[in-house]
Amino acid sequence: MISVVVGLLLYSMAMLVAAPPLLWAMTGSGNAPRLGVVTWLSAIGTVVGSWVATSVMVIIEVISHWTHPRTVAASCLARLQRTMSGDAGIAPQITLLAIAAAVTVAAAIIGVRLATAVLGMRARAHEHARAVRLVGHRTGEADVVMVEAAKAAAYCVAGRPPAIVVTSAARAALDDRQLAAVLAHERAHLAGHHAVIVSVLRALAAVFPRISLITEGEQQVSRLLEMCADDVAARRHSSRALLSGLITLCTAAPAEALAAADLAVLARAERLARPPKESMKVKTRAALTSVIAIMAAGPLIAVADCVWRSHVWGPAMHANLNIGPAGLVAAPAPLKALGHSEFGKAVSMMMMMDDGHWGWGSWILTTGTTIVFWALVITAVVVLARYLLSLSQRPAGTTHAGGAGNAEQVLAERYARGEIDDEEYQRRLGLLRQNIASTTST
Amino acid sequence: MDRIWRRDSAIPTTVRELFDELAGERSIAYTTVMSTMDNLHTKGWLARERDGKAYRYWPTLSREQHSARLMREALDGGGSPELVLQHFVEQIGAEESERLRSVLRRLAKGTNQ
Repeated sequence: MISVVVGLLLYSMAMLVAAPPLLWAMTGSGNAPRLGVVTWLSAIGTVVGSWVATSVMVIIEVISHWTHPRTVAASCLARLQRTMSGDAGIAPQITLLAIAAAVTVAAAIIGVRLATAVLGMRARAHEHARAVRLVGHRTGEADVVMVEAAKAAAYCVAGRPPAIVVTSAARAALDDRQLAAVLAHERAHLAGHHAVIVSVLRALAAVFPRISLITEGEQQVSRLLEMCADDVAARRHSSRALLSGLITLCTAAPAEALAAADLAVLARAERLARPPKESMKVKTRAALTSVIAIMAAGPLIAVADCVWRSHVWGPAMHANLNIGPAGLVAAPAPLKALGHSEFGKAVSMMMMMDDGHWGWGSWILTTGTTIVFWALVITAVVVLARYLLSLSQRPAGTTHAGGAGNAEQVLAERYARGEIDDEEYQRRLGLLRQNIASTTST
Repeated sequence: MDRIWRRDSAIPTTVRELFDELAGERSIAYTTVMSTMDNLHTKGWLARERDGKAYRYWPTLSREQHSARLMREALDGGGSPELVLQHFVEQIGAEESERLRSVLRRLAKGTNQ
């Protein structure tokens, strides 16, 4: 059991370190937004799932010791021997109990906080939807309400029934074709229950603000969900109608406040203007699918690996130490009542202690090989993903009319990111265009 | 609510008056109107005052005030984290949006070519 816990924790630690940059690189292009969402969600899901499994196992471990006082007695007996030889005392038992209590309390607090956050968001959204329906004017379509406002905006809010809100300024700015595309985008959000995904991730991010996998996942998933909705709307209407709607609303929005969503909008516009090629989509999909498969298999491999070690290495050590059946017969009866792997471990631990020089060495050896094994697996994944990504990105760089458009695009992106200021941007753009003009005239 | 806002806000309405008005257009039960108005009162949309056996209702805020409140909630400051909305275009700063526009215009030109 303990080995499974160690395996799961190793897995989640590996994911926390390796997943955010890797997934960011793989889903950033938005070539396969839906699969990208699935990838982020399975990364976060397996990590959170392994935490839940870990805490459940720790609690079960302690409870099983409580309900079988004899095993507690036996392990106490074993520890007593060690206490005599100046090792650990009864303290480990108390420590274990304290850990279990802490885990239970922490899990309960986190669970309650998550639930209240998600339910709170749901209630707020439903209330907003209801209020908007009361205040807004009905339009020709049942799910759309128009609210008087000077700001041009369109959004949807979950509720019973949900509502798509278009402000009067937005209605005035958009023509019918654009409006239809914008509404299709919002309907795709509602049909896909995107609000549920976003609220769960937002709640997780609020509870674990320092875990970058979750906080970055939240941002990236909402970005990808916008792209998913874009794809649906572009299929139903046209990407040009949607793009012009996007531009109109950006132009009409005299907003004053924050949010660094500019890059997200830019990336969306880019996708609509130049849809990714089918070959790139296929490659990104292949890369993401393999990552999902690895992540799904990861915890299982971690568990299997650790169980395998405790079964195979345990007996192997007995053989090395020449204990054999004699040692088992000599063991006290309550100890035999334990599960075989647990029993094997308990015996081997005791014998190793008696033997002296094997003791911690073997533990370090096993843990060391586990860590090396995982390091190799992660490196393999990273290398594979990099390779697949480079495959999928190369054609984009090499094709496309002489690269002039690309240079401007790169410049525009840097400008939008705020890396260069207005003057610098204008100067560089002027230079680039001069170059193009001179090359085309000659 | 639509009905109440359309009436003169200076004169509070009774359930009976509103029911008569609505019943002229469609079949609706008196109790439906009554419970709806009671709900709106408990939610703070209507204020009421006892007048003999009936209550007289009037809106606490005008439609414009409510719209303004809701739009503030939805659009200002990128929205509060407790309210999950899917904006078509996120609200952004004036400077950023100016930059964005120029980039977008160029993109649009690119597609038209």
